[in-house]
Amino acid sequence: MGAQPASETILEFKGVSKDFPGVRALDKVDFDLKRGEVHVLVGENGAGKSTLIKILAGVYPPTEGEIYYQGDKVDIRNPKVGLNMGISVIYQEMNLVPYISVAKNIFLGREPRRKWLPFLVDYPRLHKDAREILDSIGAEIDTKVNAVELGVAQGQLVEMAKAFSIKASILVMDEPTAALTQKELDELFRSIEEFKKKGIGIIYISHRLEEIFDVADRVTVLRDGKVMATMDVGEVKNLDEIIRLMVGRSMTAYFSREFLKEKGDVALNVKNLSREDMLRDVNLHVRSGEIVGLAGLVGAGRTELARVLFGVDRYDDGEVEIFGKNVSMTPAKSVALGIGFIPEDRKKEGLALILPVKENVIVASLGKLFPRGLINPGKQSKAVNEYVKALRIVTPSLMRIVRYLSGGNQQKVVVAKWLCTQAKIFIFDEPTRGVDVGAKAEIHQLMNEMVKEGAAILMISSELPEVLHMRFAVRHGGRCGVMHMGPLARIPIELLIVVISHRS
Amino acid sequence: MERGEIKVAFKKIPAAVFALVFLLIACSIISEHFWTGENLFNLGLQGTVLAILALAQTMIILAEGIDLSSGPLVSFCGVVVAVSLHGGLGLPEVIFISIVLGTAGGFLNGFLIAKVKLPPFVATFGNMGVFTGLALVITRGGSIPGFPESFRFIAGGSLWGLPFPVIILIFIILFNYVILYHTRWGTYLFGIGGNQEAVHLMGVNDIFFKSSIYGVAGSYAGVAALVLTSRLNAAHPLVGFGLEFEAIASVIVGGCSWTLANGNPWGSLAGAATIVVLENGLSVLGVPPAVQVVGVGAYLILAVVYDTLKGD
Repeated sequence: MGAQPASETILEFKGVSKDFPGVRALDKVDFDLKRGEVHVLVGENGAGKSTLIKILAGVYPPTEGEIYYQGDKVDIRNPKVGLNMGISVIYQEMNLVPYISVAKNIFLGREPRRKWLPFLVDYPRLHKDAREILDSIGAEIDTKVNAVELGVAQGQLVEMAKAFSIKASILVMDEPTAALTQKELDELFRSIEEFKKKGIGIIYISHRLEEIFDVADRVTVLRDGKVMATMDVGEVKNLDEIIRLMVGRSMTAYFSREFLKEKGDVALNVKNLSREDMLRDVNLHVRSGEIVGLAGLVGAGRTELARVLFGVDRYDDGEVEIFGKNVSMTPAKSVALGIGFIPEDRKKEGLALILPVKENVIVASLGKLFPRGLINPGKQSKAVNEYVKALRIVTPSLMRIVRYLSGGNQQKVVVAKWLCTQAKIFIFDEPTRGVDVGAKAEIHQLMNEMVKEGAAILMISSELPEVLHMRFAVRHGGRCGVMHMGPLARIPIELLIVVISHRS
Repeated sequence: MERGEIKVAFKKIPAAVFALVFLLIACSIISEHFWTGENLFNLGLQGTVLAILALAQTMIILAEGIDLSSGPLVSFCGVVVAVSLHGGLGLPEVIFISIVLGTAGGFLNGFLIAKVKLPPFVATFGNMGVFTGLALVITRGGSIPGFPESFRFIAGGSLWGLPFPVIILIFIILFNYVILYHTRWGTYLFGIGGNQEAVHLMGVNDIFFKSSIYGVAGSYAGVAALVLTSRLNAAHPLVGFGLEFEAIASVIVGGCSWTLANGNPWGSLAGAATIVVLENGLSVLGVPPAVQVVGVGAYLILAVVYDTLKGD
């Protein structure tokens, strides 16, 4: 899909390695980028994609190896050097300053200044230039509002405007599409085409592997800091090939799901549950030994339902029955009744990030295990160890601070916490968000095992393939439909909602 | 404005503004002397030092820090000014010395926080001791009284019918507004408080700018020291003790948040005004200074309770 012959190499990494204490993040990586091409970088979390980008941007110095820019050897000592060379990066995590205006954010570090009083910022020009860039990417955002007032997608557009405002020769996009709507996506892909025509080299990182075929000219697969392969997109036969390179195993295990023949009693029964505007007459039930998937668009009320079920928020109307008993809930009661809540934002709501694995696993069961208030360290370690082993949490020791674990392992620590309380009902809110393909498969495997042990699981996910092959509850606009279905073809979520609203 | 908008706008007003209105009304009821020229003149005098320090503290809190050493830094600068005056230096020299010394003290905080990466609480807590100790060493514990007429003009003089300190304060407020809202430095200040990584990634020397925030705040302490020393016509190594508490209190009741650089200097100025008026009112009622501190503390807690409750 290249618009002009793209042959001239603009950037080359030769044998670049990067060591962090105890980890080799990049191992003798060779990588190159040509003018006017889109080079997609894929790999699991921790494969070294972000490290590679950060070395390119001048955030980290490489431990060894050489970088050539337009044929010359360069030393990108700090971000300023990188920016001056024309390396512009849209980072994955949002890098906006909340309480300054959109315009100031776009030109952060490059504010235009008044001609006669050069220490003063030239506001008219700042807003005019910001407007032009936003218009060029079709973003209707007021340049004067503070960034804190923007939604996620708008923030990402501002992030893009920021990168585009730099006269770039290399543009790096780290997960640019995560929060965009289809319209904004089209706009982004159109911009990418334009950049290619101008001869700008683009490095594109994405977790949505299907996007490779939409944008890529070449693909490089990283695994454990090593380059597994670099290939032209025409050579790629199917995604499975890429996934195999990424994780060293095939896609088939990915969403495998086993069903129990005999389902248990109804563990969680929700009747006509309503809360303010967010939930209206929600009905669903989950039996022991089954997983109920809850799909629906962001904002449909899924997280609100999860929070109400765990007793974090109150409900206005309706009933919740746990094992047949009608209860009013608070988080403390929920824990006592055997409910576990694995929240969407595990770092904020699921874990004490600066505490070790041990404390995080035991925290919800302290009362149960040590009713007299004194902790028996031996018993504590034994209990924690059991679940760390059972869940195969990869950690050097029980004393490892959870912040330093990978996303998938952090998620397992949250699950271990609830297993430790002997929970029987689990509410998973987006359990695989922000974890890589391998960890995703493991989390699904884990849920399978939990169900086999008789757990009742309500799983909320915006990734449709994840909720397929399950008993199905799809929510939209505050209503909840429950349906039984077998294996489904992959269809867009919008279409699914149409299907469901027809049936109900 | 629609009703909802009014509600939102109302919520944005920090507790300090309501408290100020309430206090002004209360004070005019309890004392007929409150609105006299003399009393207002005194309020202006007392308020200047606190307002300047509150503006300095605002910058630091916006940058997700805190400065416990600003009171002791005022004492230290004041003592050095006194020694310099007694040593025969003139007015321009001591003004220069006080501001440079304040800036240097602030930069020391900034260096420890931005470069050495100490938590702001620890760095400024340590320097609280250092500055107080240095002031005690210089004066051997006593005070240094009696300065020439020219120096006493700083706090005692008046210009255009206003006490001279108030002129200084107006100048600092303008200066403060310009650097916060019309320079790159101000943008980086909000940036460092809101998302330092973002600032760093855009090629800005964030370590230097962060240190400089403390440096500029220190220069304000230098100015405050000049005003205070001139007003008291004496320097004492412990004179600034507790000023950092009142400055931090001003910022908090002014509605500045501890995170993400969500706040502005105007609330802090209102906060400083409430504290000065509160103390003034309590004095009029015959409440001893020690108990006044209790009043300020209680007001601080009430204001934060109010801000927390209205948040929901």
